[in-house]
Amino acid sequence: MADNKPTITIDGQVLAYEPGQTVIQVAHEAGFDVPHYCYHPGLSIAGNCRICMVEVDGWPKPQVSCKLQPSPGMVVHTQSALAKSARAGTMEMLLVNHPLDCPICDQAGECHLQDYSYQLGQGEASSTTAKTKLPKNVAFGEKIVYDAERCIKCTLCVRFCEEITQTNELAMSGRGDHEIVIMTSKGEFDTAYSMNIIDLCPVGALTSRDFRFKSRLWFMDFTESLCTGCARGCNVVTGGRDGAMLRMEPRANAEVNQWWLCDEGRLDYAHVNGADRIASPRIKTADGVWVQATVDDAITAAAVALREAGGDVLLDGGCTLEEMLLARDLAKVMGGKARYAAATGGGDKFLRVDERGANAKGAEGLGLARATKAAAAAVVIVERDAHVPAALRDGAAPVVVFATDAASVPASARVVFPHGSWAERDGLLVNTDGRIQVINRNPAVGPDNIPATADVLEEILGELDPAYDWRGRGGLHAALRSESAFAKAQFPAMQSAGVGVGA
Amino acid sequence: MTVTVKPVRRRKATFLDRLYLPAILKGLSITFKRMFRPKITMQFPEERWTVRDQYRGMPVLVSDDEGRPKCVACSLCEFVCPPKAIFIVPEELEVGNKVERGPAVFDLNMLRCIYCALCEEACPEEAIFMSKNYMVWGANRSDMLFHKEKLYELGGIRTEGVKKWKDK
Repeated sequence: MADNKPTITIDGQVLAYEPGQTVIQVAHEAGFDVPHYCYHPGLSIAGNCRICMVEVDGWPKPQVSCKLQPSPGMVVHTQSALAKSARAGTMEMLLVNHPLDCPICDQAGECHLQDYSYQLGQGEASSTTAKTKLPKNVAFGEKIVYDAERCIKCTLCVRFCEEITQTNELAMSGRGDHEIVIMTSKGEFDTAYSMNIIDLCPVGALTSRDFRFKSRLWFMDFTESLCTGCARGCNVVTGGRDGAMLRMEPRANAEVNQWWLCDEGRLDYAHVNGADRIASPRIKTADGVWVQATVDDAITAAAVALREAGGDVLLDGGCTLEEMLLARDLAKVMGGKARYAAATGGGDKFLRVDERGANAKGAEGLGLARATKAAAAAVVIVERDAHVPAALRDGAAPVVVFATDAASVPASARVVFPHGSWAERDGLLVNTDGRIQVINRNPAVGPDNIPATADVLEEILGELDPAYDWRGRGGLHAALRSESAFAKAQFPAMQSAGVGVGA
Repeated sequence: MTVTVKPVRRRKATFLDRLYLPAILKGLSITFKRMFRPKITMQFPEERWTVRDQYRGMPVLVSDDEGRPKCVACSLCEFVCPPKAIFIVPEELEVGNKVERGPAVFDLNMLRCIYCALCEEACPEEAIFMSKNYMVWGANRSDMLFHKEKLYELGGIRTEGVKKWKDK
């Protein structure tokens, strides 16, 4: 090694390590699949689950790799007979009192106990005693359900409350096979980040009240996206099935949200599953009756209406950079200005910020002014009521409206386009730190065949301005790069729209 | 490929052949012999066929000997069903119920079912079984969509097998 870093050997591979790293971290960095329950890169090391055992040359007994400090020249075997039998023994011990109620457990399909049981388990237990009976279906606050029988006592949830939120709501109680997690406060577990312990829990002991029994995982589609609850832009995975969004969970990003997500953001998808979603374009006839229209007819009608009216464009602060750029161009053609509106407040010292418009920073970069009081606008794009409240919408008296929910269409509208919620659109958002990130459409969420707002805006722009040349996503991104605000920014590669799992 | 053609000379019909009488008599002799053999025709629907143990009739849901529905809506049958004949919506049962979870909706579309018995094989709770019912009919399409209540009624009580909730 050129830089004289100390090295250890794992399964015959010589690996350099930084002082302070443990063997499991070195192994994971090199791509070795060392199983673990109680180890989490964001929390302190407990070393109590004993599933990450490895064999070390010269040491008589297998060692827990999550806690093992490497010393120069150490030789580690992750797949030796001793290591494997140690893990199989641990697995059998963890399953002695496990109820094996996978058919009713929400964790089934993403459960580490299931995975390792398939990899390491023996299929038969040597224990013949009856399984212990422990409390099931215990409420940890309003959002979390605890099942003590499924719990493997890894203490990840307890450590999360101690180290990350520092609120100490949870503690271990009892010992041996009667050890359970208890709440230290009386029935209150209202930390704004409490639901992260559901993701942390490697088994089905902590499950979400919100997602409880809604769907098996293998029927759902999962897509990597962003939380748009505030301008932090936490990285998430959206999960949906048959047009409904069912859950959201954080995705690790060391630069933005680490591994965490706030409860408010996690449960912030009511408007995605709203009962009154607009599923197709509508046009108001001369006698004031709404009729459904094809996208092409609605675009023509919108162009006719906008040629008459002209004026400003009012945007939801959660619109993507592409939509904001097109709205600015559209406003220019109509002789007006594009403005954006977004709610504020609710920030804290951890992840949440006061700015609620997920792309407010992007709007500033494009030079859009923030709308604070009602003013006329010909086009209004609204996804969330909180961002573009009724006073702003109605005060704008728009003729063309892009709306997610039918309730947010002002009376003055003559053409209405469906505006996909954030879970159904592709595009770029700029978070509060100026980081450009990608939101992706989850194919299983929302009404079918909603036209992309950016595409419709571009079509209308083409109708109004004969000289306009269709740019598409590539052209829009090139135009964004030439903006002075984003000249130095890194543009992420656009990801696929998501991969379906199962049927 | 070359095709070789071999002409077959046909025998000329004799006088007896052209008379047809020997052939008629031969046929009638078979009919008379049959008259004195035991009858095997069954007067369906008054008489019914007894099916064998391994017969795969319509899938039904069963209850345990305490009358508790066994299905926990794990949706494995829905997942495994090749023609997608099963549709399940799980629900949480009232607090205090030992089972915690059951189907709010369990629909079985018998227009789709192919009687493959994969649902029975996949079921971890031994709640769905292939019955001996081979007379599945309906006057219209919606009659062939069997709901939870009807499936439990057809399945009845099954005392043997998994009783996971007995000691809870």
